[in-house]
Formats: sequence, C-alpha cells, structure tokens
Amino acid sequence: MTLLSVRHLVTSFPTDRGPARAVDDVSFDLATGETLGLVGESGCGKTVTALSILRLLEDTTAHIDERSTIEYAGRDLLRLDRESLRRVRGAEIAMIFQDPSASLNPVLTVGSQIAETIRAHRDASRRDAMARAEELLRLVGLPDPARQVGAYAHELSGGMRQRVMIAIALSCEPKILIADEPTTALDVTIQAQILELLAGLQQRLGMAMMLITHDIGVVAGLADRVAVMYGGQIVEQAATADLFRHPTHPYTEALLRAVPRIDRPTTRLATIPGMVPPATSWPSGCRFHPRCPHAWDRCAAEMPPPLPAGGGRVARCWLIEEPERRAS
Amino acid sequence: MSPVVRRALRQARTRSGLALAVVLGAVALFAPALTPYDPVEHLDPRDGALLGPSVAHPFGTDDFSRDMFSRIVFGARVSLTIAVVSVLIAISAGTAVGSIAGLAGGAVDAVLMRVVDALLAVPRIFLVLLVVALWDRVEVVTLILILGLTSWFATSRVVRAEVLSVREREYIGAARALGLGRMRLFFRHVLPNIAAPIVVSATLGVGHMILVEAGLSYLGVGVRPPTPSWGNIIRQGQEWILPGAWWISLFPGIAIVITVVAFSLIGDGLRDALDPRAR
Amino acid sequence: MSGEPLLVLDNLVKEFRGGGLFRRGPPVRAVDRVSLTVRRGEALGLVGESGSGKTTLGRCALRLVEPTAGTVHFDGVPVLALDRSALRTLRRRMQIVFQDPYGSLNPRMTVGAAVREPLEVHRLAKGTTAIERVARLFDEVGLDPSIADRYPHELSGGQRQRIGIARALSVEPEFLALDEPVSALDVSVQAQVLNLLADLRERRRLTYLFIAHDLAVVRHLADRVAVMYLGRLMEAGSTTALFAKPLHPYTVSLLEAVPVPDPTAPRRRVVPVGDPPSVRRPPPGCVFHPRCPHPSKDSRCSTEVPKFREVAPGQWAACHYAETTPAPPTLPHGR
Repeated sequence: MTLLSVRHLVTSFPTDRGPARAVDDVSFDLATGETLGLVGESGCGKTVTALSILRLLEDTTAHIDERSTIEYAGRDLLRLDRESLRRVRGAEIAMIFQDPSASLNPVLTVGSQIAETIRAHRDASRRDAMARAEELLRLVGLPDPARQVGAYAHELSGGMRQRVMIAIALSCEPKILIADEPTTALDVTIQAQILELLAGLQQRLGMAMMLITHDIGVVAGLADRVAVMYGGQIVEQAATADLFRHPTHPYTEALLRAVPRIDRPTTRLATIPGMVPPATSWPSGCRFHPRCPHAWDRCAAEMPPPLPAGGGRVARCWLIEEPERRAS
Repeated sequence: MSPVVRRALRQARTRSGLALAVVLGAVALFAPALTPYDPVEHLDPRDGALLGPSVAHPFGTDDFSRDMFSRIVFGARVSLTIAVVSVLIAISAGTAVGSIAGLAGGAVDAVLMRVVDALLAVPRIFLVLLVVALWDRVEVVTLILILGLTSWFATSRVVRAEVLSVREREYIGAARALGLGRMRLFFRHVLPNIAAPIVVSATLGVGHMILVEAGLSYLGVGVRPPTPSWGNIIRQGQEWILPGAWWISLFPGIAIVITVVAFSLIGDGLRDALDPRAR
Repeated sequence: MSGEPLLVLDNLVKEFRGGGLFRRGPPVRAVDRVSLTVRRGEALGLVGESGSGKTTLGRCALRLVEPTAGTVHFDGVPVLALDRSALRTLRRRMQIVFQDPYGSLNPRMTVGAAVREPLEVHRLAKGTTAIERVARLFDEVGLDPSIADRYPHELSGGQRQRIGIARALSVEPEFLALDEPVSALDVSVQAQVLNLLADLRERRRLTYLFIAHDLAVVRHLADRVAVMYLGRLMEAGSTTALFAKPLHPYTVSLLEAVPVPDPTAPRRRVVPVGDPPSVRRPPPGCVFHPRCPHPSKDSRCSTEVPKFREVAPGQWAACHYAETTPAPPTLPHGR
C-alpha cells in the first residue's frame, strides 16, 4: 500500500546567479514496510529532497513550487497547517541525520531527549516517558540502558549516539523513517552494526524507510528499491536487484563501474568525464548529456521524462525509446 | 583582488567610508595646494581677528587672525599622519608580539601574555599622560611613537588568537612537509591568513586614534600650537564660543566626526565581509 | 632496485600526553610498537578505523610528528637523527598528500603559486622555468594549466586534490605517503583520482604508503596491506592473500563490515559487537579480545599480548590462534 507519494517536487534556492533548482521535478512513492534507497553524489539534491518532505527548509530561503505535492495519509503535507505538520513530524514521519553529535542537545540527558519527543506527541507522564525511553535504548542495543538514560551525548561514542538518534526517531512508532546518510560519519564496523539494527527494527516495527546515501554498497544490502539522483532529478528507479544487474541509465552504469570492490579485484576504474554542473546552470535537455558516452542531438534538445524500461524500471533516458543509439 | 575586499566593496557603507577617507587623504596630502593662506600666519591682527565664515575665509578666522580653513586643512595633515603612523606602529608591534607568543607557545607565550595583561590593565590615557609628563617637549614624532607603543596590546591578543588557530590548519602541516623553513612559513602562510582581522583592527584603530590625539591635544598635552591639530583648535576655540565666535571649535569638531565615521564605515564593512555567516 | 626496503619503521611508538588542559593524565599511545617495511616500488595500504593510529603512523614516518620511541629509516638514512637542514633535503624524497583537499591548500595562495613554492624553496627552478614546470605538472595530473591563477575555493574537491598531488610531485619524490586521499571525494571523482595515482606510480616508479579506512579502495590500489587497531598492527600481508584468507579476526570483521554493491551477495553474519575501546585505556593482552568473535578465544587472549609473527609465508598476524581463524562467511575467497 502506498504510504507516501511525492509528485513533481521542485525546491529552489535564490542565488546571485538566479534560482538554483536543487530538486527539479522529483516523483516517487514509498509503500508500507518498504525501504527506498536514494543514491547520488554530492549536489544531486538527495538531502534537499528529504528535508523538503518534512518541510524542514521553511526557515531558509528555499522555495517549494506550488505544483509540487507530497501525499501522506490522504493529505498533502505541503499544504498542512503548522499544527498538523508538527503532529506528523516525529510521530508519523521521523528523520535521522548524518552527524549524531550535531543533532543531539549537549546539555540534556539522552533519556530526556527521547522522553520529550514522546511527550510532545503522546499524553504521557514524565515517569512513563522515561520508562519508555529506557525501553527504546534497549531496543536499539545500547548496553546498560538503565544507566545510559542519564548519560549525556558527549559521554557516548559515535555509534552509541547514532543509536540514541534512532531511539528518538522511533519513540512514537512512526510509519516512515527517513535516514539521511546515517552511517557516513561512522567507522565501517559500527556502520555494519547500525545498518543491521535498522534492518532489524524495520522488520519488527513494519516501518517504511527512506535511506539516503552516496554509498551504493549500503543500498545494495538494505533497500528494496533504489532511486538514483543526478542534477536534482531521479534519473533511474528500479528494484535493487534489477538496478545492479541491469542498470538502464548511463549514469547508473558509470557509477557502478567507478566503485572499487572489496569482493573482487578491480584493475582500472571507469570514470565519468567532466564534472557535475552547478545548480544554477543545468545543461539543456538531459542533465547528464554532456558527460554521457551515448548522447546524441535529441539528448541536448529534449529533457527525457521518466520512461518505463520494463519490469518496473523507470529511467530518464532517450535510449529507452531509441536503444539502437547506444554507442558500443 | 581578495574576495573579502570584493565583498566589502559591495556594501554601500564601505564605499561611502572609502570615498570619504580618500577625500580626507587627498586634503591632507595636497594641503599646501588647497589653502590660500599660511596656517600660522597672522594675517591682519587689527581687523582680521575673529571674523565669521565668509567667501574669503570659509571657516572664518581665529583670535590671532589666522585663516581657519587653512588651519583645519593642515590640521587634517597633522592629525591623520599621527593617527595612521601610530596605528601602523601599534599594528606592527602587536603582530610581532602576538605572533611570537602564538608560535612559540609554552613559557614564552605565558610570559608575554601576562605582560600584555598587565599593560592592558592600565588606563591608556594615564599611560600616555605619564609618558608625556616625563618628557619635557613632546614633538609630533615623539607623540606618534608614544601613541603607537601604547596601543599595541589589544592587537597582540587578537593576533595571538588568530595565529593559534591558523597554526593547526592542514596547509601549514603541508608546508612543513614540503620542507619550508620557519620564516617562509610565517610570512607566506601564516601572516596572509591572519591579515584580515588585523586590517579591520587597524582601520577602526585609525578612527579611534584620531579621537585619542584630539583628546590629548585638547588637554594641551598633544600637539602644541602653533602647529594646528583639530584637538588643539577646539581647545583654542573653546573660550570664544560664548563671546560668539562659534566657528573656531565647530569645524574641527565636524572634521573629527567625519573622519571617525569614514574609518568606522570601512572597518565595519571589512569586518562584515569577513564574517563567514554572511556568505 | 625494486624490492629492497625503502622505508623501515622499527618499533615506533607515539605517545600523547593524556588528560585535559590542567590535569596530566596517563599518556595515550596512539602508535604502540609498530614495525613496518615498505619496499621500493610497492604500494602498501595501511588500514584501520578511527583510533587505529594509522594517520599518526604516517606522520611519524615523515617526521611531521616526533615519535616517542623507535626508529625510522628511509633508504638507510636515520630520519629521526637528522638535523633541520638534512631533514629538509630529505623532504624532497618523501612527500605526503593529505585527506582534506581544501584544508591542505593555503586559501590565500593561487594554486599555481602553491605548486611552484616547493620548487623555489628547494632551488629546483625559478622564474619562467618554474612556471613551465608547474604547467607540466598540472598537465600530468590532468588539470588545465590555465587554472594556475585560481584560488582553492574556486575549484572542485577533485581538482584541489589533484593540486595537492601536483604539489607533492613537484620535488620529484621517490616515496609518497597518501593520507586518506580520496575519502573526501565523490565516487566518480574518487575513481579519477585513483586511476591517476595508479598511472603516476607506474610512470614515475613511486613507492606508496596508502593510508585509508576504505578497504575496497585499498584492495584496488595496494600490493600489500597492513591492518591497524588501537595503535597496533594486527595483520600484514599481500593484498591477494589477505583478502583471500585473512588471518586476524579483526581483519575478518572489517571485511565483513564493508557494504558490497551487490544485492545478491549473502548478508553478513559476523558483525563485530560493541564499540571500539578507548585509546586511553586499552584492554590487557590482545587489544581486540573484548570484541573478538574467534571461536578459540580464551583466557590467554586477555592476559598475553600476541606476538606479531609470520603465520604463513608472507602473512603476518598478531593473534594466538591465527592459524584457525574462520574464513569470512559472506565473502568469496580464492578468486
């Protein structure tokens, strides 16, 4: 069942050189219990997409286009009044961020931060909220939760802090968890633990998850579906296995070939010529065409819409309509 | 051009301040060309004293029948020179001490900073008055030295803080790894990166120093007449306000205000341009 | 010529004074008796997580940080005994590229000037000759020489990293220490820089000490790998051998933990438990024992520090039971 439906999301920022469309016509769905991986390199717009869903950019200069809609539980999140939005945030849709040290309040104990989220959304006494906090710390695998409830953020390691963040996010049993680069700042062994934790929790709680990362290895292990972003757009969406086995979009192909592997030796890594253009001057037509080995004149002239490529895969690429144009 | 300078110039206030400062500088520089009369010459002791502003004497004359306009223009030269040069001395001394303290660390740092703390604790006017009193005749050069050498303390603290922060940056480590010597490391890598706050400090310092010098001259211990300084002109004109010759004290006062505002605008503009949050 | 030891670290120790601003705590051993040899022409990958001491070790090797004990020899020259001017001459032969491409460049210097400076300092070239050399270096690292007048903030991360490499190469070193050179870069840019590093190594016959936390990157570039944990060496061996049959349980955990971009790969089972211990109070005996999943782990592990020994030809490990370390269940081995 579709839980979240984003349609034509456009988020732009005013700059000296005109508006920068960090997110430019992004559409996707998230079903109950599903994990969607949102992958891309820096500047592709994945974080701005996540922040736009919960309207966390409202205090900034960001502007979301009027035609964008984000449907959740029958309502458009972008049109909700402040109070209703507040009730959605944290309780229905929760978010965890990359740097747990920056997201935790250094002067409050870890337990009280979990408790305050609970009390903001549920009618609970302080004692009950703290008890639930302890339960949650146990759920996220923190050793000695009874004692850690009174700990401060700086007393905990990076991995433990991220677990606390997850505990806060789960405190009200949200239907959707948005995780923005949740393990990027962590060591690889801790990352493995956190990813295991997230997978396990998701199964137990039946939560849907949106996992945003630049690491395609992470989505390979955890996501059911993957959306690849480039230049503010989703250039390809497919079931994870399909994406890795038969990537449709040239950017996805290039990305997969550019990653060094741990499970087999790699000799020469494939590179993508050129650089990502700035958001204030996207190329005409297909965003990727200046760097694409298969591009022809149509690509520079017309922007490809998301086209079905068979088997549930969708990609913004004219090669779907004209496969013979593929350069060998 | 440095991006900081460019950003500063984009602000209207920096440009206005800079325009004013340039005008003031030009006035000071071309003083002899701009003034019709000699600033210390008694033009007409009998009929020329205490004349109000007129076409012949735009700022009037004083009780010694000297043309006020000429005196004030030359006063600009004197006051600005004192302010700028003494600030330069202060900045140099402050940067030297602050850099040594920041780079050497340990005991050297501790001793230097305690000395600075002690000197900062003494009210500056006191310090200057003390020194001036000990000297018999204070000429402009001596005055500049005294002002400069008593104004470097706060700068040294700022510089030390900046040096401490820059010292740990990776490009310093990279430079050391490349085999660069200490002198080169300091002048090419540390100094350019601590220059910006120093420049701000210097600019604001000039405005401040104008006031200090004016104050001292007003008190009679700064520039001594007949050499004109805005401060001593104000002092001189003080006794003539009640009798009605308001112009003697007013114009130098306005000049001081304009100068201080000019340098403050530039300094503020630079400081805001440096602020990373404004980016 | 190739194959003989170029950089020899012997029982290197680096201690930092522990405690806060005013208290003097017990010293923290960032590097604890590490002995390592890098042979001429090879690329040695040094891996470890945060707190492993790998970055400190790299800096000690170049004497950017003074080791507390132990020796460093570069081509037979005792690096730690050199005076300032001899050290400066040595710097021509061993260079370093840093992790943060932005922080390692002076923001107030044009990138051309930054690459030219070492040439001037070491009196290798002056004036127009220097400018020409810089242009050639830019070309060699894949940069357009016309960007020499730009400032670091005007360039992308990948370009800045190339500048850092060009700068290090300007003095024509034989040895290059690379401290996490690609971890701050995007995947596609990382690929470009890794290819560049491979090309440069071949073309200039360089020797690399490649410090990284990303095992996949190390596997791609290194001939031999050394694994560090809490300041000590856990394992060292050729890349193929180490990835095919890791001997130390920590190496196994590391390999297991790396996410593989293949959704059909078996899900990992051997996830290391707990957090890494604090460097201030390392566990007694084998430092990894509290988190070690080895089935033969026993009391010996918590009391006796395992010796770093040659368990199989060319493969060294510091583990009492290295011979029986179970193979990583989810990784294919032998390929």
